[in-house]
Amino acid sequence: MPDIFVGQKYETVADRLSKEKRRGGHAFSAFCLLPGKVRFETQETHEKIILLLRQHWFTQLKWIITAVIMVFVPLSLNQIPLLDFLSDKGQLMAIIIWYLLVVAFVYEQFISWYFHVFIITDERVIDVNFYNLLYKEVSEAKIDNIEDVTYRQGGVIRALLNFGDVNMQTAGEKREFMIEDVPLPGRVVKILNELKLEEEHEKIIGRVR
Amino acid sequence: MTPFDQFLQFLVAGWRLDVAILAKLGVWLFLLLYLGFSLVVVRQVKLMSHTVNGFLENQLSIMAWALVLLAVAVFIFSLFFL
Repeated sequence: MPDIFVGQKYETVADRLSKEKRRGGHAFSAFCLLPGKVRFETQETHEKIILLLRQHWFTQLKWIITAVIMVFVPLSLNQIPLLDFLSDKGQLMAIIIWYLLVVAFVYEQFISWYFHVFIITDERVIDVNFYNLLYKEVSEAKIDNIEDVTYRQGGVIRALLNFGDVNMQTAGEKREFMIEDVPLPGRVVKILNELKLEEEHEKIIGRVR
Repeated sequence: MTPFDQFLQFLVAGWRLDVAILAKLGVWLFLLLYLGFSLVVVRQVKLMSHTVNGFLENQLSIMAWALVLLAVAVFIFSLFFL
């Protein structure tokens, strides 16, 4: 039979992106395209992760600088004798306690950033947020339900480092869905629009999961 | 001498409470709370890794347990040192 009767192979967004040069494959990356190893709690068997996003590193500078300053605070005690009323043992213990607090602060801030991820799959968008060690929020929106996607990138730093907020209006229960301070917001919006089109196409050809 | 001063005098003289002992108790209480916090961190890292995983789970888990070890070590150190 001639080839004209064989339909063209359906190429999904994931297929197309897999041909592109991968970006951000390492653990600390804020923009991971098709992160193969990553899995999440509610992931379905055939669901593919297209993008994994974290907040841009620049937004984390505040706590990093605070931590660096905290590390050097005990060194300033030579100049400013704040702990002189304590015995030598007391002073040593106070410094040890200070560094314990620094370690706890750094670890808590780091894992809060590391696990606060936005996952875009071929079916939905998921925002996993750990506000602190004891509070977790997972919200999601199906790609079908996304009505409008915009991004905002205001300010010199955001323009220079190319990061911003992606805002989605959805038809679901949660009307607004915001992905804050992510790298390459324009690219994120483009991928989301492609996924939306793909979902619409799948509906037409009856490939709805 | 005000009644509050008299009360403090009673605490210090009558019960032989020393400021140094109070400070030690404060330090030990803080270190116990810190130990509790480090155990909460271990549990949370486990929960977080269960929610999203793929890159650094083992390393973060090891770091969380290292925090527990550090808390225990400092607590034991303080028992002998103070």
